[in-house]
Amino acid sequence: MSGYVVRRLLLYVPTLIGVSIIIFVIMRVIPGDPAVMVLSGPGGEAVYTQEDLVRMHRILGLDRPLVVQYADWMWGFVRGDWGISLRYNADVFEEVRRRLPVTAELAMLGMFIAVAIGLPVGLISAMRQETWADYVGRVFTIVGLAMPTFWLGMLVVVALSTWFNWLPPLGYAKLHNEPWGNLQQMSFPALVLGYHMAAYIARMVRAQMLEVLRQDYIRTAHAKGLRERVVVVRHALKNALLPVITLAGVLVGGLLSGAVVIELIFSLPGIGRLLLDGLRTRDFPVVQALVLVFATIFLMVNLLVDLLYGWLDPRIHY
Amino acid sequence: MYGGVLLSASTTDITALDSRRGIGGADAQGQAPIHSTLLRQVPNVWTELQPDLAKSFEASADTLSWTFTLRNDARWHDGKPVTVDDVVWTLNTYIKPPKDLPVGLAGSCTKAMIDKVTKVDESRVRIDLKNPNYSFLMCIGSTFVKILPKHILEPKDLYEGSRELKPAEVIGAGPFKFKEYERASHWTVERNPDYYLKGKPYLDGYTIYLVPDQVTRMAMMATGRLDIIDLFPGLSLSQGRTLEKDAGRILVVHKTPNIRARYVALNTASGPFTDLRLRRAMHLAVDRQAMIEFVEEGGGQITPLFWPGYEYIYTVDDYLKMPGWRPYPEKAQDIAEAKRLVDEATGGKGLDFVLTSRVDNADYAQVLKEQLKAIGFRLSINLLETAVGRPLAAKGELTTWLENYGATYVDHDSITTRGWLPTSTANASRWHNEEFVALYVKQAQAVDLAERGKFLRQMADIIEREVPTVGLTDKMVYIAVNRRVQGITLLPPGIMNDFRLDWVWIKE
Repeated sequence: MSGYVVRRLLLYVPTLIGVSIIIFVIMRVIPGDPAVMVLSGPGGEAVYTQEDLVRMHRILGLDRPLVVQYADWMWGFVRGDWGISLRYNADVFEEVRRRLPVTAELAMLGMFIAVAIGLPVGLISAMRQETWADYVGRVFTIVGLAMPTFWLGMLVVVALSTWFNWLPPLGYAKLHNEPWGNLQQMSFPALVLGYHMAAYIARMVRAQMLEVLRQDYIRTAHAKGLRERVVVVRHALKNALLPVITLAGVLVGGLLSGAVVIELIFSLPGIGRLLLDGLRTRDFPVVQALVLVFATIFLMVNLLVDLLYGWLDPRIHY
Repeated sequence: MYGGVLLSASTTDITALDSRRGIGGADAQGQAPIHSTLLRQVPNVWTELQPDLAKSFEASADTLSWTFTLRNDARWHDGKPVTVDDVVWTLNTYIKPPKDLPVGLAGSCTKAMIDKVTKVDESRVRIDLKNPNYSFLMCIGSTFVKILPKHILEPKDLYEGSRELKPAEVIGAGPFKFKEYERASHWTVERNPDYYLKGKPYLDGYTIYLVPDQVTRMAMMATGRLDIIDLFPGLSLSQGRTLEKDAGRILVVHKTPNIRARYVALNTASGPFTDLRLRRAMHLAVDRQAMIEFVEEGGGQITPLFWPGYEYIYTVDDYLKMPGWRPYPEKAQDIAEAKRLVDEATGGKGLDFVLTSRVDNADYAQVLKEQLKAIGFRLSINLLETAVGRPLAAKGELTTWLENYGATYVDHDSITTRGWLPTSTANASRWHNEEFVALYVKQAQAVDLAERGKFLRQMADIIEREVPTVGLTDKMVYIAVNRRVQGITLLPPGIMNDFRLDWVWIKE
């Protein structure tokens, strides 16, 4: 197993190099001059001269050949020097380190809610196929799939303020400093993210369970006189979960992209919003670093998913 | 009974603790309460100035030299006295920054106007101008031209890597002291008990939360989590009405004009709009009243070169009598004349061209497309992000560029110098007019308002005649304020405003 993990990790190196080249090139070819953003500010009000622009290009290193810029960035990146944010004049590594826990907490809470809702809804739908419980579950999942997270997020904000005259307190409360304040701020965005993901999981669990429940070994388990709960949990669910876990791995990508918008709506200072601001202001050191961070997270989650296969299905060996 | 903590919101984040680097609207809003300026706007009256760090000032007969006498009771937040050396160092930093780099908006007007700054004695500083300039005092009184602590900032390299100030180094001499900054979350200041204006500020503190989403900001106002929705961009008419309807018991919605120029710059150096007839045709054909009705939801104003409302230039009523600006029924004559000009210039074929617009001006572009069909203009719209479009426009690579700019200090020069002079970096129309430049110099040097008004009117007339840019419209801005906020009268929103709010308090 450890050999497999090492091989997979080594394979990630060329993948990440490929991602880094793509994002580096994209940030250089899309229109928009980062030096202009630095000089004129986010609103573009400050006046600058052509000479200022030339000087700023030199300071930012944008006057050097692209290959040199890329090599310089990558060499710095592997050493932990991720560059300086053009917008905030702050160390990018430090900025990501400070904001990553917010997004990680949001994603984990979202995934917890997704599984906590999606799994039982999918199970009940499959077990009670074509009954009112199944219909309710299906409507629940279709609505969850159809509604974009940003729209649901706005609806939640409006509903909370209109019906309950309440919204979470402003100013980010850190989990270790103000757990209650943090829970108030995180619960609704996590619910919005989680609901969307829950819909996917419930659909997948239902479909897989319906297929597994028709297998011979399930009929055998029933014939042996096993209790319904044992048949479902021990024999059916464990086998139905393999594709669901694969889906959950893919959904992590969705959680991260969903966090970009959700963090904006709920004013959370995570890396999703940092990425959005970075893109808008052509803050290329921030965008490049974050894309690599997202890619790394995604790859690691996929590795974790593969390792879980071995635990769930004894036939799979690494 | 004074006191309370004011809770406000900002749509964008503060970018730097070092105020020399912070050049956005959020930076203006956040840094202003901490700092002092030589002069400042009279609270709640945006066009008048009063002494601040300078207790008095006098000008030489030729108005080239201004001597400011500093008050002797002003202290930095670390207890050290504010000295003439601080003023001299600060202004020299703005006009000749380290490594010759720009220092944001503070450098925008000071660099162009000030020749040198010298210490006269321990209480007086002399500022020599390059040329006499009417708008100098407004520039020096803008919140961007903060006087900074030399003993803290001089050793700091403005553009050295990621070096940022420590919280204890974020000091000024203003009414509030810096307390806390959490990036992407909030910025908090607290009352400075040693402020030189005794009794002020009235507030105990002031927190600006970053709430980028408009829906969330409105909900926060409706639930009383915020006292002021934001100082810009504010709300649209319909949003203001919605909020007032839903939460009128706890808030009031103030209406104020927006000090901003919105226009289509027409490339006069290359392409079809080198032909004056086509430029003039566009100006005549644009129906601003319809634009106000549909884009501004009925709550808008026209935006000619000089923002209207000044009796000594042109009033709104004056403009509404001019060809192009006037509404129906006279508008029909303007459109007929525009059609004739287009037919004459194109041999009756009309004109196909690309209207390039900032993404956030897409509604205006769409209305223009529809309106200009009537005169044979067939537009395709190209939407670009501001960061993308501005450099292209500045290089003259666009045929048209639908742009808007806010004033950075309360004078028309703030807008004019940006886009209509040969030296303007945002001269997207590539327009050079010697007569206009000569008048610009004359108006800047005029000491008498009536005389200045005469020159400004002539400049406005040249724009009407030459049409390098076609002025459009802008929204009135609606700003929601909680009823517990006392003493506030909202001014036209913009980065040039005094955000110190030391005259405001909260009724508990």
